[in-house]
Amino acid sequence: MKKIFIVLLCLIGAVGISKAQNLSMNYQMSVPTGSVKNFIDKASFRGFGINYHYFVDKAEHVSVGLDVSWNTYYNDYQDITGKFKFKNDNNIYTITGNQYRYINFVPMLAQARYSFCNNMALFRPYVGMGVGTSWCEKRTEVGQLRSDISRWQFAMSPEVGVTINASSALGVNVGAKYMYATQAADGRIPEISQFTFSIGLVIFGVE
Amino acid sequence: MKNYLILATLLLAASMQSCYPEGPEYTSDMDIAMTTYDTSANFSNYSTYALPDTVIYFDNNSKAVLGAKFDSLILRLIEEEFNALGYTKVTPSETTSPATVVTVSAYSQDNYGYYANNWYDYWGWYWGSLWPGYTFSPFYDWDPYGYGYYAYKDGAIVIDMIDNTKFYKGEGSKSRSLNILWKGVVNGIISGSSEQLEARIANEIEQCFNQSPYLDINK
Repeated sequence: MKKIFIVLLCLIGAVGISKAQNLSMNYQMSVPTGSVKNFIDKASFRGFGINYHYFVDKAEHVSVGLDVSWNTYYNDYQDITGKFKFKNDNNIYTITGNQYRYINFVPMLAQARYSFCNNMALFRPYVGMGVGTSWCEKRTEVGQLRSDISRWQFAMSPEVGVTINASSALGVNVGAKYMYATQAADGRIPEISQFTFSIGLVIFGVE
Repeated sequence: MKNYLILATLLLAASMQSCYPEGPEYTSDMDIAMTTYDTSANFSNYSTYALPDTVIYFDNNSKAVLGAKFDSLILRLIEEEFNALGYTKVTPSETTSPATVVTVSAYSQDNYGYYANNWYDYWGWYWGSLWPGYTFSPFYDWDPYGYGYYAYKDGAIVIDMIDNTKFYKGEGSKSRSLNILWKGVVNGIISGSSEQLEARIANEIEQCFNQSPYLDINK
């Protein structure tokens, strides 16, 4: 069934041109799960990704590249009570107020992708895997007090998507990926687990 | 391709402007009630307290800040809360010594600053470079959209419940330190009418006591 679907997509063809590399700029929307959801349980509509890929084979199926993206999570929690500690003070303080919580997450991954169909097809589905690092900053604001922490993490992300070849120079990318990054600072930076959906522009280039 | 790569990286950098969206809308959104206590204390041993009839101002200027007109409200609220929790107010004298002394202090400070509000210009400049034919040039010479100035007063009321039954000798024989059994802090930005301020102060003081169930010594 899946094979038929892929073949069908390939058959909806249009004349293409050799595209040895491509640059993609995407708008991203992310849905948090796991520890991220416990901290901020609202989806992020503030996301942006840039992706650069280079085909390593003549038939242009296998490509390697780099993916850098950024997501911001935000939610405000009215009138909640939390326990906090101040630097150099062993006492635990209970603070009640409005909490404004932010997570900024910037993964930077080295990716490998396999693109189906030939490079002249209108729709080129792909699957890929990225591995790399991410920088994550978690911020909580309550009253005039602020608690910030940021760390680097190990990140990985399997992805699927479709590149739609609109013309010899431009295309559209629609993709989905699952992003995972390890926790840091004894769990103060949470384990990142999110589903990200991207849509954007692809610029083709010939080497 | 190289130009596009540079453009793409800069777009990413420009979009970092919006890393911290939204946030508090009204000054009262930033009111907090903060408490901490001595976890080893047994509060039923401290059933009597003394409460002075004035609020101590850190900077000796009771005209500034909230102004002394809020003193009676603050002290009355604190007395009501402690009484409801089972404590008995006593006046210190030669014969009676309260187990704790509750002191109430207040302070305020003025904060000033300015910021450049220029995110419009970041976008205006970048989109211009998307068209072919324009050479890439490092950005310089942008005019900020405008400067914003801010000034605000923030204030705090600090309630300390001090152990009056024992004193801790410091290193030298003359020094002694106080043990604070419970501390409640109300903090916020001073703005709005007196009625609004009174309501916010009352609300936050009440919250300090609500979040301290260990203070309750009613049988």
